[in-house]
Amino acid sequence: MAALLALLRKELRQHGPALFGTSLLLGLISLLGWVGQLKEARVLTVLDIVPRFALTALPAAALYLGHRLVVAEYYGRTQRFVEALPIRRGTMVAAKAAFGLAWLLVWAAAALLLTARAARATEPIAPRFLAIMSARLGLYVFALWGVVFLFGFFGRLRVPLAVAAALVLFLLNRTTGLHVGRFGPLALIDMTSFPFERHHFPRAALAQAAALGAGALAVAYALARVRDGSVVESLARRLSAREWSALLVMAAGGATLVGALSREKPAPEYRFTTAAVLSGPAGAVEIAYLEDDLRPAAARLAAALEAKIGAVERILALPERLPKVRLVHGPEVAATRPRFVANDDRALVVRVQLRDLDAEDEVLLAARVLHGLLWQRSRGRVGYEPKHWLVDGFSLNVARWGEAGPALADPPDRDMLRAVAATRLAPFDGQRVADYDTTSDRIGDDLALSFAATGWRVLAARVGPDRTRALARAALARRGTDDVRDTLHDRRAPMPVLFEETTGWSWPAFLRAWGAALDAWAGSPAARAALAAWPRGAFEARAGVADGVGVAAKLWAPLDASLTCALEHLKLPPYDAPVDPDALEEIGFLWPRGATDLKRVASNGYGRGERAYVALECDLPALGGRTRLFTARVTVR
Amino acid sequence: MSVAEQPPPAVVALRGLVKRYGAVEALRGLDLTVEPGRVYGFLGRNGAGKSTALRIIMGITRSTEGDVELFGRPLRGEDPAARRRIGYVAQEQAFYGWMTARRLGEFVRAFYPTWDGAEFERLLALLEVPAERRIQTFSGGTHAKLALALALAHRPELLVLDEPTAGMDAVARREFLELVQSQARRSGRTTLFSSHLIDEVELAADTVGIIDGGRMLWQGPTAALRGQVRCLRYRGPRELAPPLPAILAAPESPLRVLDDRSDDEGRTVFVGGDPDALAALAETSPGWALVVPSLEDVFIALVRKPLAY
Repeated sequence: MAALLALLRKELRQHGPALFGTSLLLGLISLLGWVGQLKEARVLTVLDIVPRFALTALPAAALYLGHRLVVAEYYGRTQRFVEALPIRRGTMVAAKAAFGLAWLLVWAAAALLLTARAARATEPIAPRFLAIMSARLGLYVFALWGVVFLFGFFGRLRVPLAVAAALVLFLLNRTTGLHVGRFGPLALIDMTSFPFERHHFPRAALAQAAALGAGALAVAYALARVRDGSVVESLARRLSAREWSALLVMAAGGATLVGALSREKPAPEYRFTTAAVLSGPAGAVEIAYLEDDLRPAAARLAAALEAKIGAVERILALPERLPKVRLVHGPEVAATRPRFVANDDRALVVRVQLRDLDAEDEVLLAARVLHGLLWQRSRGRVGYEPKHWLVDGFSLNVARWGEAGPALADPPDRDMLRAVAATRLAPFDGQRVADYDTTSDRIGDDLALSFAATGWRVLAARVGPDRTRALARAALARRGTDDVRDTLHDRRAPMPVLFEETTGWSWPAFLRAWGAALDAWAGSPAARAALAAWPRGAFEARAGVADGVGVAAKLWAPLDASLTCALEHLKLPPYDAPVDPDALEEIGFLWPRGATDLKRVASNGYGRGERAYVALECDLPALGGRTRLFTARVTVR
Repeated sequence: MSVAEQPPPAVVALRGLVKRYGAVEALRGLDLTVEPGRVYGFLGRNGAGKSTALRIIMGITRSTEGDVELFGRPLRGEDPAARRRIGYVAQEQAFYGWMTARRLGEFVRAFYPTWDGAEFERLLALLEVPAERRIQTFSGGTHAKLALALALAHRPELLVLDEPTAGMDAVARREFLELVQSQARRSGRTTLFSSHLIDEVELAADTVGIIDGGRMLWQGPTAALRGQVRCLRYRGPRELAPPLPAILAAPESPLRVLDDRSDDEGRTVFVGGDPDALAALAETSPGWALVVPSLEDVFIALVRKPLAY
């Protein structure tokens, strides 16, 4: 025991100053995390600081400790001096393991107790709850330290081995039924349960973590004794040039393996659990209508959808059928906002509102279904920005016009008018098409469909149906491979090249013709009449911690009629990325007749410094439905 | 002989010691005995197996085969109790560079109940080791002196030194060896030290063991080793060299040829065996000069391998 204490005293003297500095650093990190969370208005409990700390700061501290205690000792060969003292070889290993574990536990305990003390102000912290959290955190630390300590004994191979282990876990997690996050130590600090599970000890995860930690420490102990410690000592050297070469080759092989195997494991196939299901005549569409009075509407919709899916298959000359479409009635879903549940090679599953679907709703629903089928077929490649407008416009045109395809109408029809409306928010030029995702962000998903559809119509009017179909086949028919072949294919055929090869029309000339057509339609009496219904005035975004995030407007003239509107908003990441329309949160309201002012905000707890996307959309009957009036990206002040 | 008259057991006894590192055989049946109170010089070329043997004695490395006895008791695996009775100076010092010599002493004392702090301080002063300077600033020679101070401060019964003077200059080496010799004489402490330098062994050891290729070639009192080897030297053209005495070729001869070298100046033959038979060679070897060789000559004769040009 005296020898063990002497070794522990030595470790404390040797590493004390560094550990003191690490303690300060960890304290500072925790403080910053805490301050950051105070700014976060949507916090349910401050206790979730603890699993965050355990997932980030503690592993970093463990790695630092492992380096100082094990790696530096063996690289400096100072273990030889200790080995010559009258102690067993395992005593030194045990002292190091105990010392590192004790420090990590001290840090973890400090984080837990300080956070629990802070949390007491807002929630009860019962002794049992504290005991559960302590057990979870303690055994997580034990497992973490065991693994880090073990890797330290692999010397120059520790980093490659750790990377390899992480890769294996990643692949297992991605390609098999094993969920690493639900296993042992990671399950113990799961953010969704750690701060909330107040009554039950997660016995299985605790046992797994204990076994992992004990196993790793036992292997480390054994490794330190194998061949009188000469194996560990021989590993504690710098990598030779030959070893570097071998590792690089293995890394390249590993990267290839990851690329080959890292396809996400398929979720179990979606199956209806109700008997209230009908199929279309061709069996390509199934609808769970749930309520008996919806059966006729469902039958009609299934037949109509099958016809449009068949049209797509024929236009694109697909060699095989598109996946099955399964619709399920969702009473909570807005008619114009179907929700995609699943989309893979087996089926496209969508929650839709079947009640009171009108013809336009059915067209838009069909457009979104066709869009989803083509998206999945191409593994998302049809959604790449330069070509994105093609799939949007094609889907809407087939949904509305079927296999025959649309002609240009005079006076302008609904989609043409809506395309004109879109140019009020985003004036047309070639860049609008090239930056289609940005354009779509600005004009909204609904207007974007109509806008893109008119591009196809301008094209068809000029080059005829055969060349139009040739472009559709070249751009939309290819089955994606989800690997480098997709990239190579897209590089071989960038948008202008693809367009000119298949249509024989110059890309810039097409863009000029499209713009000219939009200008011409805008000047038509029908368009002027439709756009007269557009509420004109000054719109601005609101983004304040106190006021909330929303839109304010001051109209130049009172509204002639009440408008059904929706404020859409979404919390944005710190970087710019396209907004997923399905992710938008929506607050519906009525803008009353005669009103000139509007102030509508969402009080969903945006914190200072956070970024938000806000949009205002209203149903404008003259423009054929819901129309984007305003959009902005803002930072909350 | 009565029980009371039985000689004390050997402090170190190795029998048939074999140590393999994979395909490499570092020791091949080594026998070694160190009697109490002796200063044993363990002589061998680099890579002969000296350090491996000493690490096995310390219990740091385990032998593959063979028996080890320390202080009359068999050594099995790691034996901290036995190790407490030994002072050990390793070939390479791997001290914690951030410590001072005094702090290192404080650390080491926890492992030895017999630690004598005053003796450690005295040794530091005697060896001129700075007590309050960080060890990482020490020269190689000072490292070795510190190691010796640490090894002696707990008053061990056996001192084991593994090529302790490697890297020292001539003066430091001489001082170090004189200290080893004097403390052995004064305290009667058994000392086993390895070296590849014959003059060190000649200076400090009263017993010598010569190891080569993992085997003990010869061990015994240093003086006896000299008495058991003679050199027959002929100077002149090689083709006129007289024949070797017939006794060297006889099947039951008490003598054997250890080394036979020819060069432009003549021929030199080292002969080992019974001292009386060696002395008689003077009369039975006309044309040859019988010379008493130096210890270095004996050592080279024993361990030298013929060079293949």
